[in-house]
Amino acid sequence: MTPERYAIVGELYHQALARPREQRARFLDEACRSDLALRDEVATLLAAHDSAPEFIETPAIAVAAAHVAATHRPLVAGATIGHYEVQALIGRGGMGVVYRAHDSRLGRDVALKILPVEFARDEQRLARFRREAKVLASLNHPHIGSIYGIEEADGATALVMELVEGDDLSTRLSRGPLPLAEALNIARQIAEAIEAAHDRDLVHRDLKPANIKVRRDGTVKVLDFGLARPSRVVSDGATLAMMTTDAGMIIGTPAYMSPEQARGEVAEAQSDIWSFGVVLYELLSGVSPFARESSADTIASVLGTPVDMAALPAATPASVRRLIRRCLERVRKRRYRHMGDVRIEIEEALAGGESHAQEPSRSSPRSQRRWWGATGVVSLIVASAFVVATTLHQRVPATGDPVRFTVPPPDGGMFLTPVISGSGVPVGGNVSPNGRRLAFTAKSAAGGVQLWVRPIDSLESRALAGTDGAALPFWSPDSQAIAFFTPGKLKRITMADGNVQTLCDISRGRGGSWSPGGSIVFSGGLSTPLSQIDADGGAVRPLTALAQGERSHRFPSFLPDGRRFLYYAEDVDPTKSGIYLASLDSPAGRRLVAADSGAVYASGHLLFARQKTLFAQPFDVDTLQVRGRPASVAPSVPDEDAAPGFSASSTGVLTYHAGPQEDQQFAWFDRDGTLINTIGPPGNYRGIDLSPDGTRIAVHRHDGAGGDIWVIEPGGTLSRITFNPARDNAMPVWSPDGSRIAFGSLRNGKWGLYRKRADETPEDELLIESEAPKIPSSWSPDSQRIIYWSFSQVRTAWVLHLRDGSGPASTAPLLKPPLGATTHAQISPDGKWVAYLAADTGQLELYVRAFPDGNEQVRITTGGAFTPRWSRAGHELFYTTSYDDGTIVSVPYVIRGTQFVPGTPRELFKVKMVLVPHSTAIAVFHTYAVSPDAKRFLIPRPVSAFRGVAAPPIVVVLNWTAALP
Amino acid sequence: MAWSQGDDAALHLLTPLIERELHRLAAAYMARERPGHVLQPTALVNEAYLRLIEWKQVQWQNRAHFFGVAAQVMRHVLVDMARAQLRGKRGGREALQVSLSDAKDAHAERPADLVAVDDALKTLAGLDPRQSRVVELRFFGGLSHEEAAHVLDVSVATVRRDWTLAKAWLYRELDRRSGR
Repeated sequence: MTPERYAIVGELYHQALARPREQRARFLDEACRSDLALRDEVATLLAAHDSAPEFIETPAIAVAAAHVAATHRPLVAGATIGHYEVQALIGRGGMGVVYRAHDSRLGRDVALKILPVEFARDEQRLARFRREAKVLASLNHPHIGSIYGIEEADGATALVMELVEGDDLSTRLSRGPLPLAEALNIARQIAEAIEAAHDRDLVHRDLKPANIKVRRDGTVKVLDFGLARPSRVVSDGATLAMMTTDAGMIIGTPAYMSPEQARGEVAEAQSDIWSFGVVLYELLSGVSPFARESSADTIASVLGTPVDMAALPAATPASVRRLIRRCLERVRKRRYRHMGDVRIEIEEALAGGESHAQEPSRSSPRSQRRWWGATGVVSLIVASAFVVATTLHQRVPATGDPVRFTVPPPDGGMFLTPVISGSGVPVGGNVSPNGRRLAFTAKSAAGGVQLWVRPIDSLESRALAGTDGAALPFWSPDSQAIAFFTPGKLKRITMADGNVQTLCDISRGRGGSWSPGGSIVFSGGLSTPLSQIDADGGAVRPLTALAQGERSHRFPSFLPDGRRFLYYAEDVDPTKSGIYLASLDSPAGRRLVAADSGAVYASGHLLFARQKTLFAQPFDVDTLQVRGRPASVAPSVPDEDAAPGFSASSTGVLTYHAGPQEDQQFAWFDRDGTLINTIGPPGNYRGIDLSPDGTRIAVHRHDGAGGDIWVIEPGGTLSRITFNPARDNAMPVWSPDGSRIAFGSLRNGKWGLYRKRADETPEDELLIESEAPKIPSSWSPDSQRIIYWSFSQVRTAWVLHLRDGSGPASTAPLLKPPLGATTHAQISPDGKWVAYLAADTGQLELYVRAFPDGNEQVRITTGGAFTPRWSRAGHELFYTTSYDDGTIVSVPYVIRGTQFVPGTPRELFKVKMVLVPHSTAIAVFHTYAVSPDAKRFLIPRPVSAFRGVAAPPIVVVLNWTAALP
Repeated sequence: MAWSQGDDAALHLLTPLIERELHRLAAAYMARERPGHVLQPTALVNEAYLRLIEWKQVQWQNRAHFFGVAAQVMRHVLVDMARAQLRGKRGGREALQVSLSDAKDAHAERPADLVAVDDALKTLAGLDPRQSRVVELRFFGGLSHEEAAHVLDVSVATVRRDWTLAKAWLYRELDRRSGR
């Protein structure tokens, strides 16, 4: 800004002011034309003019005097106010100075807050405050700073309050965000305080970190209830606002103000809920969601900027994210109405973890606490704990969906075993027989590999001291001890006292099992059979013997009777390798099933891996016979060295390491194949659909434990759409108005087509369901029909007729007569045509026919085709030549009468599109999308992720047998 | 600020006067009198002027000149006090706290303080010196539009225009500069 420019700005400013308000905008338009910077200068000055009529109208000396009066008290140590003896100044805020004082009458220390003069001079305000202080005092709430009384002396008004030692949250936050459990703990106490106040019609009005103190013992005290004056706010076009006091110059901190407060409305209970949401957000992320450079910008942000949920730590549970989102709803109808609901949400989020956040375990005697504390590295692992907690507390249901969640490695660490076996066997997850705890080996960020234990319903894992170099742990039958291998030794550790005992020497550990009778069977080397040792130690005795052709016996596992055990035998003849059954009394083995890993018996089944798929086969423990056929339980588990990458308890808990995942990341390409930008985080995606307006991406995202539907928002953040515990949700398709998403889901053994709103409302609307898989493919423009793929005997496309509000939905085949292998059907934007892939000729080709009742099909391709997409900009149909490495092809077309006439296909660009090579996915899911203007293509690209020898997360499934056929 | 001999004298004379007036006003506030009653900074300046014209060594061009200087002095004194408070130099006497801003507590409310206005005003002076003077005269000196017009030898309308623009600019500037 130069003086010359400023002169011009000033001139325009005065001319604009001279005009009536309604004409100012037009005047500026004409005067400034394309000089937007100039226009902005003048406009903001005009806004400032309108906003601040009192600004500096009061001479400086008066302002200075007012502040002197407000903030100065002849209070030094030793001074007295009434019967309070001032000791020291302890704080200074906008609402007055705070001193520590001693109540000589009651003999206790208190805090004295000298109220600003403007406050005390306002009789009405003071009277109201007195009333509210009385109510607060009667509440006597543990988390509300008590107010003892109001004193007046020497012309000043002082608030006598409970003296709270400790930092306030703003001080705490200046050191960074808080860990999840601590933040939730604090939030819960704040919520209780606010709830109690609201129940008595008291609104805080100025909830912010500076008003919240945390004592050393973790107790939270919310202070300064009701002190804040309902702000006098004047806004102009929602871009500038001010808060004033009588002195005319105070500009407050609006970062915690609710939108209604920022608009000048009176604060109500819901305003406190908003402020609470801001505080919780800040506790977790360490940043303020709305604060900007100036208070005007901050207020604009409060009024309009979407909350950046991505700033929350990745480990923040979905329930907490949802909670924050619902607190920060600008539309009050959609915001929590009652603080009690907020409190309940937090309590649930805490339910699994709180008791452990403070102490190591419920039953921990002091000694246990001591040695656990000595290992250091207490890490917080966040899983869908609230789901687990509620399920466990109801006792694992015998029927109903299995519950799945993943356990990631400790903070910054990795699941793996040290290279004692030479192959980095990524096995570690092992559930205790009582189903309550998980033991695993992991390498922490700090150092080496150790044995870790985590209660199933907890947020925390603890490393066990004295277990350096641990591998392949296995539990004692009473779940009170763990045996494990280290380089050269077999050891055991007792949970109660942490005592580590070496049992014997080994050359290479290859699995063990512990019987109720106190015997441990194990393999201690390469090319060896199994050995036996007493769990208390003693001599090692050979147990099994290698038969002719057998190379080794490994990974034994006892059956419930404690005498018989399963083990894996590797034979020179592969058809002889597999799971064998023997017993302590008669160690000659009998082959049960072919497998590629050791087996575990649980819940009437044998669990084993075959070609990296985890299977469960019914097994009768009385007759010792396998029955029926194996059913797949998990698609991909590690089986290095035939070590089982899974474990199970008799209580219905199953754990396994999800197999290695290929991640993709979405990217926009233009028609020449040039990368424009990437969007969204990397992940295991299996199907996408772009919203009709091209701004949001619905994705089917997998994480080894299950699949959910998410939406990638324009900024790249993910919002989750499906929340059902079974987590078998697939292939989202947007409704034509962009408000809903249809998807398929397997629940309670049935496949259903579901529809739900594309926000975080939890309700899924079931459209139809049956035993046959259903995956939606396309939604007609009139919203009345959804084409979906369903596999019964013949893969085919079906049309679901939605009769919203006028009867149940009905279905009909898409093609008459139904043809085989018809997939990826998509309706054209004008609703008159449907494009689909069919394999009539032996390979998938692209066809088009009239919708809904076309009889003849037009063939578009001859050399094979995959996922077609219509252009919303008209007259173009796209397809890709392959589901991974292929070319995007454009097919122009015209409509002549009732004829669909395709033109010459044109290759646009080659692209390496990555998709999980899952047969179902290839058959059914849409793998890319086209922008509405047909100028850009959204394509998943491979993300090379370092996996190394680190194992993927552990998946825990409760009630896993419920998913079996 | 370039002090002439007379200016220096004004400074010496005015400073204690200003401080005393400050406390008188503050006491009045605390006694809950309506501030309008005691809000007469020009009375303060008048008093100083009367004293000064007795000081024969000093030659004042005219009363306007003196008022202009007085306003500068007021600005200087008040801002100085505010700055000193920020630096904590005026400790010991808890009593004298012109606590217009609290730099330590970044999260507390930060009133736009005299120091900030002073800084912004210096910036404004680089854009339009007369506007800066108008603000100095009216805000720090407590002069009316007419009195300021007299000091600056311009029309009252000019003073009014300068005043509204400068006010808007300052408000916007302070708002932008003020932190959380």
